[in-house]
Amino acid sequence: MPKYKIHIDPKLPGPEQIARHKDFKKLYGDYQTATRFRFWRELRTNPRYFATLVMIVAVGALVWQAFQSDEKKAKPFINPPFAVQNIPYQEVLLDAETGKDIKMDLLQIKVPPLAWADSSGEAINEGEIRLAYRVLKDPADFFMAGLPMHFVGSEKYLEASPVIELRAYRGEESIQLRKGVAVNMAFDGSSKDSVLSVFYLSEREKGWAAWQEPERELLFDEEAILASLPNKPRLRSIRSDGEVPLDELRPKGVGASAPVAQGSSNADENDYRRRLADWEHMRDAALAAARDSAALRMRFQASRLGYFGLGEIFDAEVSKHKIKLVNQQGKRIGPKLHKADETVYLYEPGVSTLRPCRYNGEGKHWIERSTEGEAMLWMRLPDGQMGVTMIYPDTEEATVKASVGNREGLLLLVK
Amino acid sequence: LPAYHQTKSQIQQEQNEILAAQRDPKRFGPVYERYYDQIFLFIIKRTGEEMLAADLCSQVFLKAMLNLKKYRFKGLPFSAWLYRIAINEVNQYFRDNKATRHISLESSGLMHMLEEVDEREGEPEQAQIAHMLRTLQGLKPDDIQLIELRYFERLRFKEIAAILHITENNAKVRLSRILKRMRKKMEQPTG
Repeated sequence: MPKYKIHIDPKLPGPEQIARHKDFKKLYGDYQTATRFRFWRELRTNPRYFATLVMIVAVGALVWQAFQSDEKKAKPFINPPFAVQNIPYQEVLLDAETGKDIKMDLLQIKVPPLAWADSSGEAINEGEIRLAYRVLKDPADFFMAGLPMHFVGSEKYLEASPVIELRAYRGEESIQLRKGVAVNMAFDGSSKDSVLSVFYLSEREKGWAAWQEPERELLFDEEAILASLPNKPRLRSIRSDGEVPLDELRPKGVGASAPVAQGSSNADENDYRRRLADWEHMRDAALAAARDSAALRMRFQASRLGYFGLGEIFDAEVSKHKIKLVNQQGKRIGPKLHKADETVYLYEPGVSTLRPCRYNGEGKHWIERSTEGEAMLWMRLPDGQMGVTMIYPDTEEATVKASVGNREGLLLLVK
Repeated sequence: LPAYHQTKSQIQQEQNEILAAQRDPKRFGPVYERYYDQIFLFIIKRTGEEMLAADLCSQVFLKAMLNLKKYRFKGLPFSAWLYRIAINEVNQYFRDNKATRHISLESSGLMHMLEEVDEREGEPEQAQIAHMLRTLQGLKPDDIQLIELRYFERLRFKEIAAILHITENNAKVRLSRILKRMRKKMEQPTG
């Protein structure tokens, strides 16, 4: 049987006959149908497509796993950006049995006797206790200490000045206050601080919470201020109230026995009243000035150890700004963004709070700032430099330059 | 002449059409119109059935459109790429269906080929042709393909090389060996 069917000079279809089969519309329709589900069709037949899918799934799984493990290794709630530049603690040794009064410039800590318990709650009745404390004065200190400043369960922020941290150790063991015992704290601020309340940083609830209203005492010596004033004016004219002896008011010498003229008496009295009013005005002004400049001692009880902040809750009108980290070519620096909340902070001097960048978990980051006033944008790169730039209410795009190793010129855009 | 014999400016113009079609497949229309007849005839010569040729021809153009983004201009007419797809489609059809291949030959091409393979003298021409056709039956499909492209599609070696995805030199060597084999076979006495 012949292998091929050979035709010599076969009669082939002419152009008109061929044209009957020509249909570009149908071809385009077939093309659209084919491209619509092409990947899945190819997947069944083409090993390359299958390998691609396997690779995508594998990469996806790895990314997911990395993300998961990132979540698992969640950063500590209190996370100092630069360990070496953290605000140092001051330490004092005290006897567990007797307690101690610690006085510094602005802070007083009164530890009562038998105040301590170990981590299991067992009372510590004797031995040496190491009390570590520090005063964080302003947002720069909060930043260095890695303190979040947001209020528990809300969008509000704590504007604090200062934050006091208190810790205690027996040897290297961290210990706590005995149940029902409180350390008396007193902090000397200024009279302007009379609006401040005490807040506590809950590491369990991850945010600041109201603690108590402090007892307030203005520290000034009224008697000393009064003593420094000129003598209070005395009535020198004629009066029948006995304040001044009558004979003093009478004219001396010739005509001394003559009756006192009514007019003279009135003139003296008027003069007295004027001088008295002047003196009282001077006294009030001196006392007001003393009050204004006086220290305000705020006392509160710390029945647990940790961070206590004297401040106010801030709920300013803020605007949201989307941010992204990009390199000099404008290319997004992807994975780092997931940690942007550790990377970007905003400090507004007028608000005196440090706000971290927020991440919505879906690739979007933003930072909030007041609609008024200037602010400082901080960018901290892992193991790298810290870049800072000023932004203003009308700033739509800002650049912060910093570098990590040989990766220089990373930018932060705010839009 | 078949459309694969083009001037440089024609090739360049065609290249612009292909680029436009790569961006928007709807613009593949002019290319389709230009080459449909050629590809259709190319297929029907090998299959011998009009409807089958129309079906395979549609498949060729659909594959061309689907893979158009992969097409890279290498200085040859676009038809070379279409022919390659067409050959693959036809071969695939015969592999899948175990159908008998058709070989369509023109007399002029046949004579030209005969001059190259049969150096014997004295034998009548009809007998020589019949002898050569019997010899063709003994060739492999790949060899037949090469002969078809060279003697009956009248393509240059450069174009054959592009269609079969081999080098030009390789195309020449392969054809020369096929002819040598045929010559040897034809010198044997017919039995």
